[in-house]
Amino acid sequence: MGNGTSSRKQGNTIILPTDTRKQTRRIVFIITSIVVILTAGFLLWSLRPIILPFIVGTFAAYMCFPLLKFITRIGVPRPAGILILFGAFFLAIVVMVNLIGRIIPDEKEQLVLRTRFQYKLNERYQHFMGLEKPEDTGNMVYKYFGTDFDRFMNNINNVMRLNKEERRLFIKYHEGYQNEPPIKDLYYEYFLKNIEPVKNEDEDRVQSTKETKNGKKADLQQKSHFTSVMEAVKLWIIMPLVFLFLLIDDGEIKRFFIGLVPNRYFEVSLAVFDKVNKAIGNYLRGILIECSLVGISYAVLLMLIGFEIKMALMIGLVAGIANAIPLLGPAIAFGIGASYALIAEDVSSIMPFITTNNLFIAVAACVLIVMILDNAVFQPFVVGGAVQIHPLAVFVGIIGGSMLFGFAGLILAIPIIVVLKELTITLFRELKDYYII
Amino acid sequence: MTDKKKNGQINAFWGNIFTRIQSKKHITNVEVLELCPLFQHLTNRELKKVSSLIYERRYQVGEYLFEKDQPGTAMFIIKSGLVNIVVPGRDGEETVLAALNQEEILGELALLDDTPRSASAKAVEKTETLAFFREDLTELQATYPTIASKIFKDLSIMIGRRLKAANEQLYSRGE
Repeated sequence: MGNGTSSRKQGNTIILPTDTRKQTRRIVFIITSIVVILTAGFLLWSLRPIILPFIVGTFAAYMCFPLLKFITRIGVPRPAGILILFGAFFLAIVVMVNLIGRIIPDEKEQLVLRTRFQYKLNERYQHFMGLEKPEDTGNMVYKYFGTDFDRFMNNINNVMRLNKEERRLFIKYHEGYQNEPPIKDLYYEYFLKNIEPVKNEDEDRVQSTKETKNGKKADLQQKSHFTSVMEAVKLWIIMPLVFLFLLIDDGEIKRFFIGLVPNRYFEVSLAVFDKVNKAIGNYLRGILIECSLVGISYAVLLMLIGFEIKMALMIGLVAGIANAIPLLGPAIAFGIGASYALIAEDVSSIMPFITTNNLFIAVAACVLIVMILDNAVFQPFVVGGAVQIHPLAVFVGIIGGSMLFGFAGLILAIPIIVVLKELTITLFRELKDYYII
Repeated sequence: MTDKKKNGQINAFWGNIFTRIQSKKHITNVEVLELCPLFQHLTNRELKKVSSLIYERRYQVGEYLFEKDQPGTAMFIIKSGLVNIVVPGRDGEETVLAALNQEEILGELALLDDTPRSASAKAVEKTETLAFFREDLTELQATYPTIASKIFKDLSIMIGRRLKAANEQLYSRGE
């Protein structure tokens, strides 16, 4: 009290005692932290649809920072460099969307692929179970587990089978619909074989009632197709904007956050920020190059073993993206490759010993070669000593991420775990170096 | 009320209104950098670029800018106030090695590497500083090599002068 009175006497301003100020500061910090955490949590949950475009834009900007530095270094003014990179980024998006659009099967191709997959799957099942001729009763495996396997196959057939509308479309395409080349006769035969069990009128009637309902739904879906495209555009428009603003930002965000740090932790926060920033940048750039190399390797090897170019490119693209998920990446690549090997008709491999019968094994060999290449060459040379994560953390992260944020969580779980791990390790190491803990 | 008292009240009134404006008018970061020997060869444009990388920090009396044996990350330029360079003695008392005023720099070796600080820096007045981060200088080297080379040259000159002075001191002690 005395202190307060004397300080008031000294000047016009009221100076609080040091202890009270410290206490007030602590309370303000705690309250602010709680409010910030709660607000951030609420915003994160409410705005989760835009998290993926936001993070993709951030990652893309991270990739481009070294390029921007290079452009500035060779004498191009920074704003011009930003414009060049933004233009290149926009062009890359347009080209990618166009390419992916071409690779992804259209309506006709989807119908043919489903028909082929269903037919070949049944054919291989019958061959494996010894049921190739009508009089065959099946082998030992079928005798013991036939009922369960049959039930499983029925479920798959129900999923793969074309509905009435799709069957009509298939027939139209077979006759040459919308100026498209007609579907091959061989696939039409598969189609006829596949629909044999549906020939039963009762089933058809049941399906037709289902389809009338589905038809109404389909109409609604078609109507809402434009709206959903617009919504996707509305969400994804944020990506180039995030990219642009992060490039424009010349350390302002960093300076703002460092400005909030108390003096005692100023230098340590600079050191932590810088080290984490470098580690994450290296990791993301490394992962991007690694995934690209893995994708290209899959595409080349699959082409060599006789896959169609389009399919090899599509599988390469998916496998490259999936490679960002440790452990699961090769499994996804094998799953897609093996599914295609199952339906492949004619194999035009440069290796004469590869046929449709052993294509499945060739796919497994490809996955193995890419895994060895990835572990022995790509990872050590490209990603280097980047952060390693425990397999358990990988699985928990992927499952947790996909449960909380869906597809975005699945893809981004590992990079986010890496960021958090690097942040924690660096923070504690620096705090020890600065004798703070 | 006497005239003196009246004048005092009027001064306090106008003083309160203009205090903030006057203090803001003080001196800009670019002006501080211009006076600093490390940036004396930079052009106005280059100084503006450097000032965009600077962190402003304010220290209360008794607060440390950095402490002995901590790894160095940034160099400090005193914008206003007074800082003592101190080393802790065996008895717990601090020995003052130097007192640094406005526009003087401290901790400049941190711009080269993160070796531990050889002494502590303590604010003895309310002090405003500008901190220049080592990694920002490294970035400058990559993006604006001309600016970085000028800074490194002046830093080398400064360290060279200190080395000469230290050698002369050793020599004079030997005599």
